[in-house]
Amino acid sequence: MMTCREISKVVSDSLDRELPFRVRMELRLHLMMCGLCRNYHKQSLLIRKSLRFGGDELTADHSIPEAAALRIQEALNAAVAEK
Amino acid sequence: MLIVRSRYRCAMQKAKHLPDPSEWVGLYGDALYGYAFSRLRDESAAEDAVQETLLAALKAQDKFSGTSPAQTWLIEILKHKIVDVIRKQSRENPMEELPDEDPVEQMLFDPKGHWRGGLREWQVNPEKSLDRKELMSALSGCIQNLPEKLGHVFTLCELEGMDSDEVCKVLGVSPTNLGVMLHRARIRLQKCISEKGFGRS
Repeated sequence: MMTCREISKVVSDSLDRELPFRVRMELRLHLMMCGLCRNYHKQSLLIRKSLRFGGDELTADHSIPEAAALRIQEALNAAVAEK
Repeated sequence: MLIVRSRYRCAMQKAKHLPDPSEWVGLYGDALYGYAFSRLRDESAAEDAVQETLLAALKAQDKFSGTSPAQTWLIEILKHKIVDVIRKQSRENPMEELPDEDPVEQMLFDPKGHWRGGLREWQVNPEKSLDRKELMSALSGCIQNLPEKLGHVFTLCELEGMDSDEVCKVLGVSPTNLGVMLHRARIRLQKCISEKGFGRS
């Protein structure tokens, strides 16, 4: 029998690859009996789903620092001039 | 030097023509930087990725087909540049041996492998767009808190949807270690989101 800690790893693995039949069955049984792991599993799927459908929208709320913006614009201008 | 920050920024971002390169930083700098920063978690790395992206875009201007907005096209280039930056960082600062014990797991599980109380259940309804938005913003903050290597693993696998063999190559890790690191990243994210108050007390 796997512990909850081992099950949490199996939950993670299940997001990345197909698990062997025996492991899948044990995961299923464990989740039926254990509410804490069931919650972990549910939330793992929710993170996966959110990122699959909205991952590209995930962005830090940071503006480009002014100094970097200037430097990059200069580099661009220099590259344009070279063309 | 004058950087054009157009008042028509929103309209321009949707435009399906490529504005003049002198306007790129003003128009797309913030969007590209925010995207890069959320994935690289480091200011100078994000700045480098943006610069590399715009220089590459300049060379590839002819390839812009106009079937998608210019910003989308630039983000596609940026995605490659982000992988390049991570690859370079991994080469310069290779993975040390993965510690056998993970302190966060030890915090969450007792020595017998049982949850010490478990993670709080999030009060979130994924059908509601406000809840989804809040979850994404919590996720974004928590991803930024991941330790560097775990963050790279998570970015490549989950945000950029890269194939795990590819990720192993980019980061120079074995498939087994990749699995362990993904697990450690995911368990940290859940813990972090639970602590942000998504859970009921």
